Amino acid sequence: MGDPIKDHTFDAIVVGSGISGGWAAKELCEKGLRTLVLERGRNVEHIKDYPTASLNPWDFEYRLNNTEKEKEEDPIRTAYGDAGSTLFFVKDSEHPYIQEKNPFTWVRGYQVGGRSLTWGRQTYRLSDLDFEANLRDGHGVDWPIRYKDLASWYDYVESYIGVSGQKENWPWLPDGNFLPPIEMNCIEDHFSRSVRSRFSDRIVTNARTTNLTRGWNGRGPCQYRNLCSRGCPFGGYFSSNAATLPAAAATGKLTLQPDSIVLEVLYDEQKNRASGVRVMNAHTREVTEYYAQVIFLNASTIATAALLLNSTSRRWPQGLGNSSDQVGRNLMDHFTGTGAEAEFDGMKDEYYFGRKPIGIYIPRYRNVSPATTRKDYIRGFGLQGKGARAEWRENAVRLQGFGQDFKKQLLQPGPWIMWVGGWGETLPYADNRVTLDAGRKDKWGLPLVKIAFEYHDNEKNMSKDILADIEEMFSSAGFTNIRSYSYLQPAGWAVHEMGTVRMGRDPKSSVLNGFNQMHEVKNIFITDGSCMTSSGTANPSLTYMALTARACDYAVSELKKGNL
Amino acid sequence: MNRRKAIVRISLAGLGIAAAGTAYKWWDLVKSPDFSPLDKDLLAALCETIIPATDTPGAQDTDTHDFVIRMIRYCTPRKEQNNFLHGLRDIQSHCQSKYGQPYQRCTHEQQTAALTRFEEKGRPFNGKLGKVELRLMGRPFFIILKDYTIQGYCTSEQGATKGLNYVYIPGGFKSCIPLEPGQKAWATN
Repeated sequence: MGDPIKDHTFDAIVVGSGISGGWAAKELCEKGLRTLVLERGRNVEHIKDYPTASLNPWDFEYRLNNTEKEKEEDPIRTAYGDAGSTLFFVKDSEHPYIQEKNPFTWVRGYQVGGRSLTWGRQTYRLSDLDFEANLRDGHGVDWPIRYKDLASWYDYVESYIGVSGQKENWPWLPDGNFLPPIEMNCIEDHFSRSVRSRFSDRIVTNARTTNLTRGWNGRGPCQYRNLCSRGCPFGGYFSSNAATLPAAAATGKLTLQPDSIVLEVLYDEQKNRASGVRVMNAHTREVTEYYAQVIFLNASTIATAALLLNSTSRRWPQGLGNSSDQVGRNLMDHFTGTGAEAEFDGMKDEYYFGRKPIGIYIPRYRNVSPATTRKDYIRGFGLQGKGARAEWRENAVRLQGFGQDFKKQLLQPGPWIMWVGGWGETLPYADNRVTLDAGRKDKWGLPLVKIAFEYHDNEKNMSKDILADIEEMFSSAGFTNIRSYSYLQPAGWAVHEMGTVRMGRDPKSSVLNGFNQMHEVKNIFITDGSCMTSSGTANPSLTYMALTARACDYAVSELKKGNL
Repeated sequence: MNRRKAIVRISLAGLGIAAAGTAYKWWDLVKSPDFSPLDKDLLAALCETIIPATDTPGAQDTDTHDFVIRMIRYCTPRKEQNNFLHGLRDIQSHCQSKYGQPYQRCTHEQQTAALTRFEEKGRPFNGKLGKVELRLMGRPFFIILKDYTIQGYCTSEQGATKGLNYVYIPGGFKSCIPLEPGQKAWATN
């Protein structure tokens, strides 16, 4: 029997093993710190634990459909996962939360690797258009960093994860060091050329993605199966499971502990430092404490805020490090739900081989200059889209009738179709927030998370503009039968939730400083989506990873200087 | 009662303003389904009418009717279950009264005529009313039958590999290539 305190003491603790937690684990281990990674869900080992990855459609009892019973019990899980991927989404029925005012879709993946298994894999850098946004228009607080602070960390992360993309030299979408892009198919290429020639303020580029167009760091290349969210047996895209966690383990410094729910962060009042965490085993409910000099919280935006709010003490009655009362506030997502689908009559002799896992991207072009400034809203949006020929699913709806002739048409490629949708920036509103309901507990005795969220006129006006723009681009590119849709989907739908533990310059109005270090508790670093000061328009995971690598570098140097 | 009237009445029923006849119709839609019309031979014949065997396998070769039965039992909302089961009963009684035999024993021409009739009968209204109709009452019999038959066929091993072109692991991507005459579409996207 060892010494229980010593056995439970590490150099660093990382809470969460998703896209940012995996990076914290890798960086801290590689810098020589004995690191404990705590994951509330089950273990998922790369390849071995992807049981559905190699199944054919006919191998599933209901093919890829979820049953009515499953849909009723777990509406979010079944909306995001088909029969091949629901295993990586939590059951709503087992993990309740409270939606105040409006619905908020909280998509969770409680397992080793978190949502890095099922993410959209698109990676875009923020630019100073984003980092200066709050300062310029007065919403939220100013980011404590600028693009130059993060640029080399974007390089560092990209060179490890591998990003396929096209350099564009576009002022508001910085380039990186890319692997060759996944090529556009005929219709995407047509759309791209048309938009570029008719709209001088826009580009259409190949979606930038961590799907690898060639082998990279022992992983990939992508096999173009487009079954990413089942886990990839080829390591064709970046996930914690495929990359950062094995790298951390290879150092011999990693202790990865699944099924470990962190109940609270422990605070040492005398030292004004966090001393460790209290953890409950998800199955046995046994409670243990672990200690470390430095603690990284990477539980995901909503869960990290909830963890801080639940870590109360005499010194921190409002939650750890929360004198500013900003913990839980300023919840953002990218709003979706506006877009269109259209047909193109032509190029009937062209087709493609292989299944593209991504499509095209139109970076922000609104409110970037005096000429592009709108009166009815601030900030902007990015557009994403994908083109293909109508295949049986689309033909089934398009074609009337049945029988021999119908069958023939059903099984042939139909016309080219393309879809484009908007991802809009959401402002940081103080009342869009996460709180805890002390009166209602989950099965581990933790207070239920309560989410209040509301869109305002800025988002609503922007969404109208998105729709008009997409229709205009489609019709000017010769598309027909344009079918548009516009409704603000419940927030959370983009699974880009962020902002609840924001970075800022002033401890009175923010929780973290420019190195993702808690203003008030210096040995806590928070580098998941909760740290985001504004939402920008780019898919955010790349920024979380870059911020994590940078914060780890800073934390270890501070640790060595004896400042933590 | 025509369908337009039925939709209006059922909307009113939803608001609690129900005449006895409307309430009965509503009950028919939301009641616990009676699965006895899920006759395997009937379904096999219906699926085969939609996707017949030609130079490639048909719905029967791929046991698509078994998939349709599983979908109706486990993957279909209550109202659509009832729409579908009513539809099966209706098409059977239509065939009995018109042709003197059940659907599965009718000639090809009779089957085509019967199913065409149900396709016409169930076609949703255009525009807004159609959307309201679908939301309120669920999809009609023919649309469900056609949807599940196509799904079942195209995701079956025979359908995907012989009716369509299934590539298990493409291994690469070619963005723009000529479509060969008569080339089948990819089975998965």
